[in-house]
Amino acid sequence: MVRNGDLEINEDLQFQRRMWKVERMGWSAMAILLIGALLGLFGNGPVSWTTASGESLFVEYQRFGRYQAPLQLRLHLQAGLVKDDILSFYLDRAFLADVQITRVTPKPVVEQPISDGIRFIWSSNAKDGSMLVTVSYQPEHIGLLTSRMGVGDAASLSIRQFIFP
Amino acid sequence: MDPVVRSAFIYLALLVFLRLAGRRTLMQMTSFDFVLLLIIGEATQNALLQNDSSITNALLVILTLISLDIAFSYVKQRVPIVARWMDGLPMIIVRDGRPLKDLMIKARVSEVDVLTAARESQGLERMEQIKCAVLETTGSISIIPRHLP
Repeated sequence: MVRNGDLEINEDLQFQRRMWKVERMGWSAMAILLIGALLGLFGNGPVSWTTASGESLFVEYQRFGRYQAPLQLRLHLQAGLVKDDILSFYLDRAFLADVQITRVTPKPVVEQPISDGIRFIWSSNAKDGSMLVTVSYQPEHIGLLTSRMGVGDAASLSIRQFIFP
Repeated sequence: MDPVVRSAFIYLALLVFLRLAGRRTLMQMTSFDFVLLLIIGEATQNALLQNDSSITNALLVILTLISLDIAFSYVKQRVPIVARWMDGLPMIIVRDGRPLKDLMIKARVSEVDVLTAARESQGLERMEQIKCAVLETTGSISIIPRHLP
């Protein structure tokens, strides 16, 4: 223990200054995290929302999600996809395995297991105008989530999302 | 595995955040700080337990937190540099009745805080009656009175 005047104290101003410097750096890091969070770096914000388009559909989704927090896919299905009053859409196995689907709106008439995932079938007689389908789900897996989806027999479209713990 | 990793992560994150907040934030508890503490506890709770209300989960969480606490106290005792960074060091902020202004500003302590501590602990009336005031690692201010002739 060091004597400082009459006091037996382990004061160390040099260390103290270094600590303050680190503290200020930590504050900056906190500010950056906060701004990032407001922008949507951890989900739900302008940085997070994005779109992907493929054959006959385009999808609005979030790049960043959080474990077990609700997420949504907004599928815009193009006009003229209805065949024999039937419209179908499929999601691949990876999506099924890593998330819990809470709701599909509008409610499909049939949910069919297929070799590589699940197919939703709606009955519809709409001939023109695009249709909006939303899939609400909760990620059950932390890390990168790559999922493929498509309409009818069209080529699939794949999206990548990062799920924070 | 899950509860252990989860609690360890939250323990470390809280450690860093509260450390960065500085010793003044949660130590000198105003009623607002008390509410803040409650909210932090509330926010942490769900992440710690995560929809799993089994006794096993609760025990694993408690086990992890206490083990980390023991581990850190052990390391702090043996490696002084770790203790310095985790707890900080005490600092003299008033010497012979003169407040050391630049240090006080950096540590976010005001002369009013020092005088409050002086009144509370020693019944002193003025700054000049203070021989030494030390900002302790706990965030409290200890006062050594000066015997004026």
